[in-house]
Amino acid sequence: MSFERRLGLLGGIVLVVLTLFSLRLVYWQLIRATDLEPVAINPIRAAAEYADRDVDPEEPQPDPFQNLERLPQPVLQRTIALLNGITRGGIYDRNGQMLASDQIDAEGNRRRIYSDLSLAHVTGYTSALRTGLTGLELSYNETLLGTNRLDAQLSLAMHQPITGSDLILTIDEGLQQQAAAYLVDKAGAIVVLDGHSGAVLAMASAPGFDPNHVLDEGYAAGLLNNCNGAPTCVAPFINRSTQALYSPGSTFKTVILIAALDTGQVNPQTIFDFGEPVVTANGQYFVYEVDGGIIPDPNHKENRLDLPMSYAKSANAAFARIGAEMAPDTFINYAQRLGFSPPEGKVFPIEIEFIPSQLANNVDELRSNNLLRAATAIGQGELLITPLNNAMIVQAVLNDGDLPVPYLVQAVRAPDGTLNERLPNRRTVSNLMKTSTAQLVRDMMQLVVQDGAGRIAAVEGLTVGGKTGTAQLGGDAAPHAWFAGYAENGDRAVVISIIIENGGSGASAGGPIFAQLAASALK
Amino acid sequence: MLHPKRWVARTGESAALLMTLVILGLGFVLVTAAGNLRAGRPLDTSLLSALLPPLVTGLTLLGLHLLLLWRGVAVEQVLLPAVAVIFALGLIIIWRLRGDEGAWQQITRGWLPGALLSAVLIARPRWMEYIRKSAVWISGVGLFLTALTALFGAVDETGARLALKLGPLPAIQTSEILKVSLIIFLAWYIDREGAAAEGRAITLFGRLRLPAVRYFMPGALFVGMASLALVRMSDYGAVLILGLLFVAMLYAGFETRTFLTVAAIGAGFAVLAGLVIATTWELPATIQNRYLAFMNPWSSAPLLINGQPTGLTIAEGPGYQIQQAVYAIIAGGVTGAGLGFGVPQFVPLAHSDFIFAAILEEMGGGIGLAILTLYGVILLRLFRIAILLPHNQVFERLLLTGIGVHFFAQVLVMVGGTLNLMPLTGVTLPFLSLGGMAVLVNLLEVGLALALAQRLEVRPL
Repeated sequence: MSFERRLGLLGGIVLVVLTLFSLRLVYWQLIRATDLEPVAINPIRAAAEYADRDVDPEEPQPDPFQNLERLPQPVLQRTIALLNGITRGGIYDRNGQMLASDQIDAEGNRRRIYSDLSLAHVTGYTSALRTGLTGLELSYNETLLGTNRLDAQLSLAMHQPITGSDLILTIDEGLQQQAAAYLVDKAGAIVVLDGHSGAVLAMASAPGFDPNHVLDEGYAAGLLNNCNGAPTCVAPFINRSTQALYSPGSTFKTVILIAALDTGQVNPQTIFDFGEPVVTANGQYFVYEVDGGIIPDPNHKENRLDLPMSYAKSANAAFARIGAEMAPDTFINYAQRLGFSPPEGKVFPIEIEFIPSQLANNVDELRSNNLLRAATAIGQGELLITPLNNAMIVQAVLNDGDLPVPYLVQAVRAPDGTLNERLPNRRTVSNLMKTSTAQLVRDMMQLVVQDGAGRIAAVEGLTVGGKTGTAQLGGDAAPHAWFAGYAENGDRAVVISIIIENGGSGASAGGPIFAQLAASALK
Repeated sequence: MLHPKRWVARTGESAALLMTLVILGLGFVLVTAAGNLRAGRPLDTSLLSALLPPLVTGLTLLGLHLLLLWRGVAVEQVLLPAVAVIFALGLIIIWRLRGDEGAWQQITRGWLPGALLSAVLIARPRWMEYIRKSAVWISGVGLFLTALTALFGAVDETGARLALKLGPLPAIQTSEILKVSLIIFLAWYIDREGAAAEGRAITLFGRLRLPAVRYFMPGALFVGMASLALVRMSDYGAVLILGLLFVAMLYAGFETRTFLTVAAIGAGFAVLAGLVIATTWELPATIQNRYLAFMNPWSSAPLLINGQPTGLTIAEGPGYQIQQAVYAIIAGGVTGAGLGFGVPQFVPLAHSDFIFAAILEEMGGGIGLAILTLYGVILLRLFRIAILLPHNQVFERLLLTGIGVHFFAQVLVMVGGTLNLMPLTGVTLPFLSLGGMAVLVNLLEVGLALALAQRLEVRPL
């Protein structure tokens, strides 16, 4: 072989290698670029994706906050570099009062400042990178960063600093402060919805935390250790309105009432005969017997009550019977459509972290176990509900069976001032019950306040309806106090759901708060 | 005085060089403007002073161009512009990353002295003979300098011992000198003994002709000794490049019949390398970790050194640089983030070892492909000169082959590492990376080629 041919061969090898390099370059830039994003606008999601790669799917998912450490260092660096050029949008209440904003501290670093600590669970908070970690800061992360705006994308491409969009919330800061004040030194939650639109006017949860310091070293541990496990400092990071599951107590009777009226199982003329009461040293109570078990009913003294008064006086024996006699499919169907153990894909779309309520540990057991169904019907059994869900049931009743899904963001305001109020969070779930059923339930809810267990919630000049609930916890612990109801003043209406943990009776603990909030909101 | 006809002898080259200067000037203007934009200064702040490095580079190129015109050389008008474009792109990124200091270091310590030495060779091509006659001395000096570096060199922040500081002189990196020494030594040796070696070739299985062992032992000894020194310097990339040079030049130099010969020679070198590995204790751990990082730069497997856990993972150790390079490449995309608008400063050694990643991030994949193509062009032009030289000029032909393989080996090791096609070892990219001695030696090699090109007659191909 001549020198020329040998050199030709060497040249050929070189060209092959350079071609290989070029293909590899194309591979990185066009093929792998889709799953190796150099910048993680949503660090939690990106971290979860990176974590998924070497996590056994059988294993429980690791904590996403821990996962943040699993983001490759280069991605973190590049994300910080990008975010340093972004002013995150502010969060305002419906009257324009600032709730959260980017500010520059003494050292020249940007910091997220939150002005209303009672909204910590709603607004959520951002990471040190100023990307959302929880609450609205997380769900509207790209809006607040501005990266979902076309003009901002262009500015980023032109390497101009950008400003994120502002969120205008439905929250009424005055009402929010008032609601939060009722929860001082207590544990519980208060949700106030606009009765017709579903706009959340106030959402308070106690105990809470300070979102300005939540990421400070030792803050979370200090918060949890400070009061030696007293109930008023358990789980301060949980938004009790949407994430805490409580036994609903008698408020669940509304769901059974809706199902029974809607299917014609009962009507307002139905009379319930409770037989003779059992008399003990502590007083007398009625019982409803089913399949060898009994449901006690100490809530009234009358031997016979019609349906409206049974509801108004929260007669356990009446509702246990309705539940036990109801077709199991009807029972489950109505509970599910009102938010209990919803089938996959049917969870109400709420903008912040939302945990669906639970009908039973195993829903199928309700089909065969009449006693469980009877116990569930009066709000005991294995039921668990979030305060927001309780408000939504009342909301559906108030709106003739249609549910305007609660929403927190009223408008998005671009930096140039243009408001976008047509947001995808405005949804209505229709036909949860017949219009006539909703009308009857409203009448009975009003009866509760006029002549039943909830008289303390009445407000002069307003049409008020509601349902009290007292969730027994067993042992010596005081029960959780529930009140869920609505108040109307002409065209305007509010729906309020209140839970005070260990607050005692629903009427005495929840009723006055309801009355004052309704008066503030509607007068 | 120049004959009028000579003025137009290299119009192709002059046009290409002019375009290179436009690229260079624009690049410096853009980088400066981008810096002003980011800092909120008026866009044209210190724009004129930014044009000084391109001006000096341009004058140098003009000088080399005029020198070639004056010599009446009409052949080989591609090599110099190709080198100039690569150097210009590198200088732009160095200016972007290291500012005035980096750019002037590159020009004054590498480009200007390299161009000056090249000019001497172009002006006095006959002096090539001195190089041939003193080949042994040159290679001896190369080995000696390498040994000095291995023993007394300064340890840099990465733990490598690459730079030699002699008295008041600026520190020099000796590994490029060593590579050229090997090229000269092998070219000289094969030229001297090649014919005899052909006569005494060993024939295996009736077909496979190997040069007798004694004819590649001197080269193997040279490589072996140099490798020992390089391993002490933690310069594994250079070991690889010396090996490639050795195999390629023996292959090009001997009239062997089958390609298997190369494999056999390569295997011999591998045995030699194995001996070197066996005599040092730190090599296996480093190489193993780099191999693991190559297989998965994101690996969360623990990083072990000599079997001891370090508390770090592969991803935090050797995988970190590869990750950074990969994210830089992806962040740049096809068109790049724009000069001054990427964040290549996150990539370790973005101005030297990883300059290709920095270029890809800010200038984009298109420019990256262009650079790879230009390296291919440079190499093929060098081989072309070697082929066109008369058959009896074996030393010169092998010298050009070695120079081409040298450039290619550097690109192979560094770009291959950057693109995660092979385990990462840091070497300089010819004409691109910041490094005075490397640019000086590489440019001198181009000067050698241009000096030899003058021996070609102009004839249509």
